[in-house]
Amino acid sequence: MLERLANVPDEEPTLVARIRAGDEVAFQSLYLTHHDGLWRFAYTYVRSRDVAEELVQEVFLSLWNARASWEVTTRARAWLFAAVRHLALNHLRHERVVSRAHGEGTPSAAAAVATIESATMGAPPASQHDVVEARELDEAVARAIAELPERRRIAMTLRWKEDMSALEIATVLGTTPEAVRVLLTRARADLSALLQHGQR
Amino acid sequence: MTDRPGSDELEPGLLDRYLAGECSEHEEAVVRRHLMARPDVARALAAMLRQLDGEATRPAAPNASASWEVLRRRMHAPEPVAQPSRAAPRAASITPRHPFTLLPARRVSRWQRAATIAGVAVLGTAGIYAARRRSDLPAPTPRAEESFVTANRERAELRLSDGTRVHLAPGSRLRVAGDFGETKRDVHLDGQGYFQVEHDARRPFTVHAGNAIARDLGTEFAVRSYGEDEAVQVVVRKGAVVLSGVGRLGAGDVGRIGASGVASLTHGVRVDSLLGWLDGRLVFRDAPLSQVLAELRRWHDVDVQLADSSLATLPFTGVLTDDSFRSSIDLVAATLGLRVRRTGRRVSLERIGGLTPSPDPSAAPQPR
Repeated sequence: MLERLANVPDEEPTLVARIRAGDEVAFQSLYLTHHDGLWRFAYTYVRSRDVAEELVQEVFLSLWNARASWEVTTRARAWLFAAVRHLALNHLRHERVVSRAHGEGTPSAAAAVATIESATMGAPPASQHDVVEARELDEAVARAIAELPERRRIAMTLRWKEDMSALEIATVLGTTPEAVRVLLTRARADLSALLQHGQR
Repeated sequence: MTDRPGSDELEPGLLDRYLAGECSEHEEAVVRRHLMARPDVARALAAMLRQLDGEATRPAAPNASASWEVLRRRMHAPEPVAQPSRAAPRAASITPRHPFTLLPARRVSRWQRAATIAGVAVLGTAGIYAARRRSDLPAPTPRAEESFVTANRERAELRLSDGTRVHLAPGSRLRVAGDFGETKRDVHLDGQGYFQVEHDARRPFTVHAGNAIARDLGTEFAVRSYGEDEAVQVVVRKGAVVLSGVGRLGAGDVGRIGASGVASLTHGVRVDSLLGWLDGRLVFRDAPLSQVLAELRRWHDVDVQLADSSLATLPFTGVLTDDSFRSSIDLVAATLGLRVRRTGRRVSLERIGGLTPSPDPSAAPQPR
C-alpha cells in the first residue's frame, strides 16, 4: 500500500504558526478550506445539517480560544477531523444511547443482506426495475454500512471519500497507522463480501 | 450468470488503490474493464460509495463564507450567543402586530418531491393567509382574533406584540385572541408550540390547549396538543407554569392531561429530549408506532401505511432527525425489525417474511 507521509502542503506549517500567533486571516483560510469536509464528516454522525454545523463551529471556536497552545503533529486536517469526531461522539452519547445497541445479528443486518440479494439477483423483470433496483440496492447498502463498527466505517470514509493517508486516519482515530491498515483490510473484506452479493 | 473463477478477480489491493485514487493509468484501466464486465459489481460499488458517508441523502452543506461570518462574530463575542436563532430572513412579516416567520422548508428528497409539490407551492404564501385569516366571529369592538397555521413540513417563528416568541411545530395552529395584550394574553393552540414568554404578572399569558389551560409564571415552556388519542403535554424548560388540574410546574417538570381528564406530573425530566423538535430532532421513548408515524406525517408529509394493524402498538425508542424521511423510516423499520415497502408514492411497513395476508379486514388492499 502506498504511504503518503509527505502529503503536507508546504504552506501548512506557516499557517499553523500564524494561527498560533493570533492571525485571524490565516484562521479564516483554515476554516474556509476545511469547513465543507468537516461538515460532511460531522453529518455522517449526527445526521442533522444544523447540529453538524454547530459541531464544526465549536471545534474552531475552541481552537481559536486555545490557539497559542495548538500542536499539530501530522496535518491540521487530521487534527480537525479528530476534534470533530470527538465532539460528535460526545454529542451522540448524550443524545442517542438506546435503541440501536441491540448488538450483532439484529434483524436489520439480516434484512440488509436479504435485500441486497433480492435487489441484485432476484430483481424484478426488465421493465421498470432499474429505478426500483437502484433504490433498493442503495437502501440495502446503507443499512449494511450502518451496521459497520464506527471505526471501520470512518476508516473507509476517510480513505475513499476524503483521500486521507493511513497516518492521518490514525490521528483522527487516535490509533496507529498499523491499526488503520488492519481496519482497512477488514473493510476490504467487507467490501468484497458486499460485492459478491452482486456477483452471484 | 457466467461462472468464471478466480482468474477474473482483481489483484488484492488494487480496488483499494483505485478507490483512494492512487492507481496508475494502466491499473485504473484494469479496474474499469473489470467493472464494465460486471455491471452488478459496479452498481454495488457505486452504491457503497454513495452511501458510505451518507452522500445520497444528506442536505447541502451550509455556505462556508456565511458560516465563517457567524464564527467570526462568535470569536469576538465573549459570551455565547443567547439564542440559536433559526429565524430565516425569508420572513413574511405582514402583520405589524405579530410578525410571522416561516422557517425554510425541509429539504425534499427527489423521490418524495412529487408527493409534496402542493405543500411546497403553498409555502410562500402561507404566511400571508395565516396572518390574514380571521375568525368567523363578527368581533365588532375589539380587534379580531388572529390565526397562525403551519402545514405539514412547515415550522414557524412568531413574535407576538408583547415580545413573546413562539416556535410552532409542523401541523399546528395558534390563535391569538383579539384582546391579547391589554389585560390578559390568551392564545389557543392545536398542535405543538414552544413559548418564550415575557412575563408580566399584571396580564397573565395563558395557553389553552385541548382540555388544558397553562398559565405562565415567567418562563420558557412547550405545549403539545395534537388531539387524536394523545394527552396534552406541557414541558417546562425555565421558570414556572401553572397547569389546570395539575398545579405548579417548575423547570424540568412535565405535566400531562389525558383525554379523560386524568392529570399527571413528572419531575426531573431531561426536557432537552422532549424539546429536541426545536432543532429538528424527534425523540421517542417507547412510543407506539402509530404515534411515530403520525409525527413523521407532520414533519415530512408522507403517509406511511401499516401492512398489519397489530403493528400500530409496537413500541419505538430512538431519535429521528427531520432532514431525511428515508433515513427516518429506515431507522424505525430497522429498530422494529420491519421492512419498508415502497410502491410508487405509497410507503408501508410490514413484517419481515410477512408474506401471508393478514386476516385483519382493515389491512385489505386499498384502491389506488
